[in-house]
Amino acid sequence: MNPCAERASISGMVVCLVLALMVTAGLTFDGGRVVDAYAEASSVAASTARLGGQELLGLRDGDVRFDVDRATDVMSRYLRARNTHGQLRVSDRRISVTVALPVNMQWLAMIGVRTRIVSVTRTAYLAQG
Amino acid sequence: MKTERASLAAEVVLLVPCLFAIVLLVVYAGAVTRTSFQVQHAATSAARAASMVSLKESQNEALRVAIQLLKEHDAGCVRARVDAKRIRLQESSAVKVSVSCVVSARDISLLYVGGVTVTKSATSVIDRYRRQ
Repeated sequence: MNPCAERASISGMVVCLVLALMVTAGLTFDGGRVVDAYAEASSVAASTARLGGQELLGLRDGDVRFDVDRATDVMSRYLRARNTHGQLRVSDRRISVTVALPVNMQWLAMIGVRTRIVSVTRTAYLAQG
Repeated sequence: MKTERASLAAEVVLLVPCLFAIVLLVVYAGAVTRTSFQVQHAATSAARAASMVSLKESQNEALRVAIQLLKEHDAGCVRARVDAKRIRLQESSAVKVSVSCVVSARDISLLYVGGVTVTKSATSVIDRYRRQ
């Protein structure tokens, strides 16, 4: 085999190997950040839902009711204070909060994957007893 | 021809340690990611546990739960620090727990890199109407 061709094939292999390793590193690092954001969004959504669940009316006269408007207001203000986007679905006995967090890719941005939105929904059920 | 072979050998000798270092860094990035997830889980669980006990006990409860979870899941922390404090959250009270962990760099000791510190926090609302 021509030594020059041999040398070129080794260089090509090394370039491919380095690229593959860099993509693997990117997937590990940025993928980890996505998983991390998922855990954080889950925590924020659960906390927001439980915060809304505190807004009860009629505790003194025994006619306990859930104050939907106030709960929605409190949760919206909390999410705004955290600078987080969320979607609230509130009914008589159930509060669902969907939190969306953008994750900016650092390594994968090099191959065109710039931002991923992580969206998590957590629900709190009102219980009496 | 001998020169070509020598340059090939030199290329391999120079590149193999670099490739090895990159592989080690990928492994370490994986370890940091895993630990980060465990630390977030520990902070969330510790905040929830601390919100269920009295103000006096909340710091100890947060510490106990966070450390137990980090140990149980073998999070790979060399040192861990847990802080819990009561905060106001709109009209309610809440417990905010921060967990810091220095990720063990044992797997990449060949690179002489110091451990990365991962810090995560979580907030849990104290139920106003919970029966004590």
